[in-house]
Amino acid sequence: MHNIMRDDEPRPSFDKEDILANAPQREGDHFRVRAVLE
Amino acid sequence: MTAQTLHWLAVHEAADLLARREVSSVELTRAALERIAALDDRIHAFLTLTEEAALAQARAADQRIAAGEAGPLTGIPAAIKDVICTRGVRTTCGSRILESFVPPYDAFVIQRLTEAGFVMLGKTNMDEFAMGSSGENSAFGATANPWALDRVPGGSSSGSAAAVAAGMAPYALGSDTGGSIRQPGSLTGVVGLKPTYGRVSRFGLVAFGSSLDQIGPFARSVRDAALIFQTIAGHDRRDATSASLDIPTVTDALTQDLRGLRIGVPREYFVEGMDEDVRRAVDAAIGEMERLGAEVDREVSLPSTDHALAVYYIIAPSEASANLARYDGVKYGYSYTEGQSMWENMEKTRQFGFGDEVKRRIMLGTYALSAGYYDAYYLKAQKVRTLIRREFDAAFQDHDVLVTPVSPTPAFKIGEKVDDPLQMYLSDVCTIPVNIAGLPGISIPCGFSQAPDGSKLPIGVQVLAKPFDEPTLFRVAHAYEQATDWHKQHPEP
Repeated sequence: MHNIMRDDEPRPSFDKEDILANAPQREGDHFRVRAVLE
Repeated sequence: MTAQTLHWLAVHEAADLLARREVSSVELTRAALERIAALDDRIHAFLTLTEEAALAQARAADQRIAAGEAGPLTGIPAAIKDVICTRGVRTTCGSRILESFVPPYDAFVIQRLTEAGFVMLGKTNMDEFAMGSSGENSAFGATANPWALDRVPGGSSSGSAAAVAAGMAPYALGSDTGGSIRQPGSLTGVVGLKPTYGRVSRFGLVAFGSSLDQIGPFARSVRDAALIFQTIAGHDRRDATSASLDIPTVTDALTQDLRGLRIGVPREYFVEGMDEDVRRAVDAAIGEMERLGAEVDREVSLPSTDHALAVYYIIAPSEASANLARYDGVKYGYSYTEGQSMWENMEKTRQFGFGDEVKRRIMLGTYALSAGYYDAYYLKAQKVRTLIRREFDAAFQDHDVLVTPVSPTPAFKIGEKVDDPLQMYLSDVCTIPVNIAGLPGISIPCGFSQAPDGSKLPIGVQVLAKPFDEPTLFRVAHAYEQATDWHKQHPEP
């Protein structure tokens, strides 16, 4: 048995605007949903 | 070059003409778009057309060709199943729930094709979330078989198969979880390849059954399928199951004879109730392979084959139920917002967003995975899966390939099986074991059946090889294809 985990290197992730572009409802940088808690 | 001859060019023929400047990519692309405009009202292979982007890609490809930087796929138009993410082009998976979804990134296979000088004509129709064997589960309407417009083209990659069969695209990509490339390939008379599990990265493929899904090509020749395979295969660290193996130069394997090749014919694949024309055509294909020099062993037995369908309908829905949990109406896609609570909105989003077959499989999957049933169903299915794989491994000790039918029947009528899911599931009885075992499989045209109204209905033969032995698969498929002319026949819709 040997470990095959790769090195933990940071890499760029998706652009925030790209990800939020499909949001049915957004508020600022967040996805908007109905209140979860009463 | 007349438009008529452009429609039926194989990818490698088009590439030769492009290299000799006898045709331009813009001309090929225009011819394909005109063909789509003329036929697709009746066939409904496409859900989204990307005409302007296609012509821009074609102009870029022509520049690349002029600069002497062309590869084998540069400038050749293609159609992409709508389950493969394309940046900026909506990707619906044939579902209302993703009707408005525009992916923020390209799938790995799209990145590879783009590097190769790809021209995308559009995104093709499919059974919702790739769940189906006829194309009829698309939320946007069925696709017609170009050979007989009242019949299905198979599924789930219904639009990709129909587009290639009808001369609307020289090649297409599909995905295959239980036969969704090979079965429609067989029913529409084109070549359909499911590579080995792990060969092609699924990064950007919308997930259905993650231990089964593979992406592969539809084309009108084996050589084309090999060229496309070579372009899209390879390691990608964004898919944890992607194999770190070199891609063999499969086009080197395309020879004309099969001397020394050992073919096994597993008897369990000639199932009770299969169509007589299919049986005859597949038998004749095996005879032709023998004539080309192969040794044929008709006594192979894979006794667990009978359990494959049951195993699949536990494993695939279980994985689907987990994969489809992400559609909650919050991050993208259809969203019901009129409810009183977040939970009500999520519930209604899924109630209205998913079609019946998708809901059926989510229910089957959540049931099979639930506490108290997990051991009896999912775990048991995984154990039988191992048995199925071992039987294949044993058969490949003494045989280089196995040859079987693809579908027990030719194309059936639209509407014929929609009310009987179990009958529909049987369409994949010969293709499902291959996904269960992770093997590569290819469907190639091997004949026709005749419908009562006189329509010709294509029949395919399936060739299976050891994991990662696609070169042998292509060798057998190509030698057979070159000895026959089934792949040169086209429908006249």
